[in-house]
Amino acid sequence: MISKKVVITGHFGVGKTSLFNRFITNTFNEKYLTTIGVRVDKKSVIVNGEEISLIIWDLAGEVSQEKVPRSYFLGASAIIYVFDLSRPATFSRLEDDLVYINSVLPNVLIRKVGNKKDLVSDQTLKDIRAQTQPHFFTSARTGENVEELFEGIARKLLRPFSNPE
Amino acid sequence: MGTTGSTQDKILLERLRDALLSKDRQSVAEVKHIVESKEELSKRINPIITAHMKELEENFPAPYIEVVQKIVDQRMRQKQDELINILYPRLGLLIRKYINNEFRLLRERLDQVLKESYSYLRFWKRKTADEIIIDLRPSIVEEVYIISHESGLLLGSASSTETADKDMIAGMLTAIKAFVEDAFKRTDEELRGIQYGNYEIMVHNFFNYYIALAIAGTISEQERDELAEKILAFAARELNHDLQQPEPAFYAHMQKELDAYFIKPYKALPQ
Repeated sequence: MISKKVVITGHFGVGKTSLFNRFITNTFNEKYLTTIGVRVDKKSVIVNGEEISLIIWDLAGEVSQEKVPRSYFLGASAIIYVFDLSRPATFSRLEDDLVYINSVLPNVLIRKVGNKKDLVSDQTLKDIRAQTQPHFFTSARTGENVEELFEGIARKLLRPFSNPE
Repeated sequence: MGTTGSTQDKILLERLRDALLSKDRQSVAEVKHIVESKEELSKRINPIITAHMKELEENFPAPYIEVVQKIVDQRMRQKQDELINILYPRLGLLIRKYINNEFRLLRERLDQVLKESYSYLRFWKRKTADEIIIDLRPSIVEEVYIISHESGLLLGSASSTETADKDMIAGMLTAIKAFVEDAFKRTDEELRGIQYGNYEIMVHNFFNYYIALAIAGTISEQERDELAEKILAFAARELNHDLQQPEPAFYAHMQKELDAYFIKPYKALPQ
């Protein structure tokens, strides 16, 4: 079976570990426990009858991606950049962070994800969509779009040229 | 009348042809003979080929060296990882052998000095620290992993015990390794082991992968050296090619080889 490394990164407290837990174990914890260093887990996804194992690295949050140990990114096939829809400070550096990630991993698959969708209004979502052009708005609490996010990545990693962005 | 004239013209033309082309026809026949006779053909062509070969041999570097160099450079760049994977364990083995030999000589010299200085001690049967350690608790290789340096993806594994998911172990081990190497800003140093209680993870780094052995029990320096040598020999034999995207059959093959090489010999030992 094919295995691919997927890294979840972003600012502190944006819900990276909650997305990770929701996808891996389908659970959600209301308590905030900061991630120290990194957590690694895996989940197999079946896309059109083909199985892929996603080895997911949930990184500790940092205000800037340049502060994340570079070696954590190396060898990744996809990056999930998570920001908190209810805290604009968590996506104020989004473009700079993505430029940095691209410099470490040219041509890597990147997914911009606005999390905590359940906490903001539709108007706020509309404004943020225009500002950040995310691939997904998710809610780790309700599970909305979490499966879709990871399955989309799995599909793209298995068939890089089959689906349009 | 007309027909008779035409026939005479033909005869005359043929005679004229014979007269004019006889030498050419003879030459054509000779050439045909040469071409059709292998022996004759070789007699004439071989000196030409030999002369060309000699010229090429003498003048080869001038016109072709750049092209050849370019091809070699390109090929080496493409196969860089593969070449390093071949050379890395072999160099390691050479260096290890040299160091071991120097240590052996040093130990012999020390023994000699001690023997001469404290000759009365020869009556005592003394055990070395290594021997005492081995007597206390023999070490067992329980698990072995081959892991990609950058991605932390598992390239192969074998185990004598039930453990957590191997992909997760490979990922976390790589993350810990990356953290330690990054945190202390020692870019020229690499993590070589993790110890907890009577358990040790021995890490041996190669160019784009590393091998980790999970060892239960206390390991002596001599055993550590022997295992390191074993790892190098295994890498030189089994991992001397590009490991960026191994075929699915590679994992099964690695499991079998790692089990036979590292795990089974320990299963055979009395516990």
